[in-house]
Amino acid sequence: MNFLKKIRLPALTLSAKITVTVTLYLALALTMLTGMIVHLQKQTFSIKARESAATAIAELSTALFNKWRPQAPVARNVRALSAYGDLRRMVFENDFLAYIVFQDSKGEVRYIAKSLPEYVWMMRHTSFDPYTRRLLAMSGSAKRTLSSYPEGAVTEYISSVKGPSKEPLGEVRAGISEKRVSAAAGQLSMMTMLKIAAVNLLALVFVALVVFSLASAIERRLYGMHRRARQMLDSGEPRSDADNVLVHLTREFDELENLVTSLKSKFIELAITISHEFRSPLQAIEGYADFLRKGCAGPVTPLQDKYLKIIGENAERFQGFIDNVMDLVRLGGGGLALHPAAFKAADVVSRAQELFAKQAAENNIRLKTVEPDPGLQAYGDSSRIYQILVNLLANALKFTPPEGTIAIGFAGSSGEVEFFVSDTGPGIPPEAMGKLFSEFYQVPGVQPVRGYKGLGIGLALCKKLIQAQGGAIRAESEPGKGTSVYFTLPSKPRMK
Amino acid sequence: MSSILIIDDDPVTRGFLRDVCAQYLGHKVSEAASVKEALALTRAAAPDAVLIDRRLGDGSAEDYFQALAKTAPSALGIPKLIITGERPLDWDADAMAAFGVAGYLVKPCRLDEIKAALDSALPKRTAA
Repeated sequence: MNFLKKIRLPALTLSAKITVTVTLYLALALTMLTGMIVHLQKQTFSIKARESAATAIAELSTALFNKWRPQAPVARNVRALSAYGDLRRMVFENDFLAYIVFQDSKGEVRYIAKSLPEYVWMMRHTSFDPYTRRLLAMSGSAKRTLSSYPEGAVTEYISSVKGPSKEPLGEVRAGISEKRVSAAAGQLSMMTMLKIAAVNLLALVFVALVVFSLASAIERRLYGMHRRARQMLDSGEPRSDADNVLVHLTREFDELENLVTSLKSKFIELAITISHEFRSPLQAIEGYADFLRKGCAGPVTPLQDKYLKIIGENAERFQGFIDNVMDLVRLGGGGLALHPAAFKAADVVSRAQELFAKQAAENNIRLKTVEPDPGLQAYGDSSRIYQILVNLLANALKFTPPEGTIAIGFAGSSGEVEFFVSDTGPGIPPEAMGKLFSEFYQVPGVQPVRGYKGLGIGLALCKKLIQAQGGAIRAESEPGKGTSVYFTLPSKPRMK
Repeated sequence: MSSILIIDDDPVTRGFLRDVCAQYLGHKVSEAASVKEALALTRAAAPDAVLIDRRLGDGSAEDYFQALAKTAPSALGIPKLIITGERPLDWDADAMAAFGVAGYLVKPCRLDEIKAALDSALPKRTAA
């Protein structure tokens, strides 16, 4: 058990983090480098293939030039040449060269091909297309691609040959098989890749070890210093100047940490006090507006009623802001108590639906519920789920035009219950989808059909509330067609 | 017409509740600003219902209930509505029912909410 005491895991987490980060970056850099090397190698292969064609043509041309006997019949000349061993070897030993041909102006042909199908093919392809012919006449050389070659496409290099007394003898053709070029390159690339990968892996392991040992050495020393300083603080007077500095630094760190903690809790406390203190004035504003509208202080003209309604609605809106901000603050500070229990999904959904039924009907919007299983149970804080549904319905109602439809419902699947609220509003542009659940984000360019714009915290709050209960939230939208927001809850408490 | 005791330390909210109960709902209203005043008024006037703010200057609604339980247990039967600023309530529902708490209203509350809460709280007492 003694060695266990020597390993201080918490002390090494920082070193491990540093090591992982450095190693990951290095791996990324090495991967990019490997890619570049392989690419370069492939290009080199292509160049090599062209070079071998050029060499073959040059060799054959020289042989023709030197061994051509103008007095002898053409047939004998070419027969003599086909026995030219060096040339034969060159074709057979070259990875890229498919064939090399000499054909005279009368069509007499001598070939060196690697296989019978290639030989047969060659018999059929002795003539040039007009374009190649023109090129040959002009410059003495040409290049063409023939895709009918038995082995796949072939790039053919053609060169006119002249005899010792400048008389035209015919053409030399060298074919490079593209398939062989890429196969050879691919094979070698794979080998190179494997080699480089092995070296990379070794390098990574080495770097990781070095970084970890360095980082942990520094980290241990820091923790050691901290511990020593703590002991000195606890036990009494420091001994030297260096110790003094240590003690001082430790005190500063402790104070800083305390300050941050106390600021956090003060902020939460302040937010709670503000939210509480705002309620009484808001009660008076909203309540008296309501009071006046009810005619309790005398008759109200339609215009007065309209203004009183605006006062009341905005007091309520303000209250909504405060409630949402408060929940966000509490969720961030861990002060929000959730009371999870099993509840019937249909109950919460119908309560939320009832809250908005009147408002939807007044605005000529169809508000329907979709409940496949009225007895389906979900596990979570039902009052918070109600709050999320109300938030989502309020959003949907803000953006759905008259004659539109809003659906609220749920479905169960494999240990989860998925709730949803969908509307036939203007939808959300794809570029805004990613930020939809961010705090203080509002979709640009979309104006509510009715009601007021929010602070952009409703959906952020929904996300945090649902995540705090082990669920997830997502949105789907098609501009012009509508938006659906889905969120899940476990149907039973999860094992811890 | 019933008699209602309103207990709230904030004069504006108290005034509002008085206006609602008296002018809108047509009840007879008495007011208290502290637990001490509230106890005295409850014993003296025996209201039909009590509307009480959860936080008061010299204590809380719970303090008032506990004091009632000690000094005037018969007053525990009076239906009580708690007005509170916080949405989630962490109190013990059974204990509150024993104190005669018929429900709660979250500030800011609407006139109709107050009316509905009082309507459902008041007949209970007549029936009992």
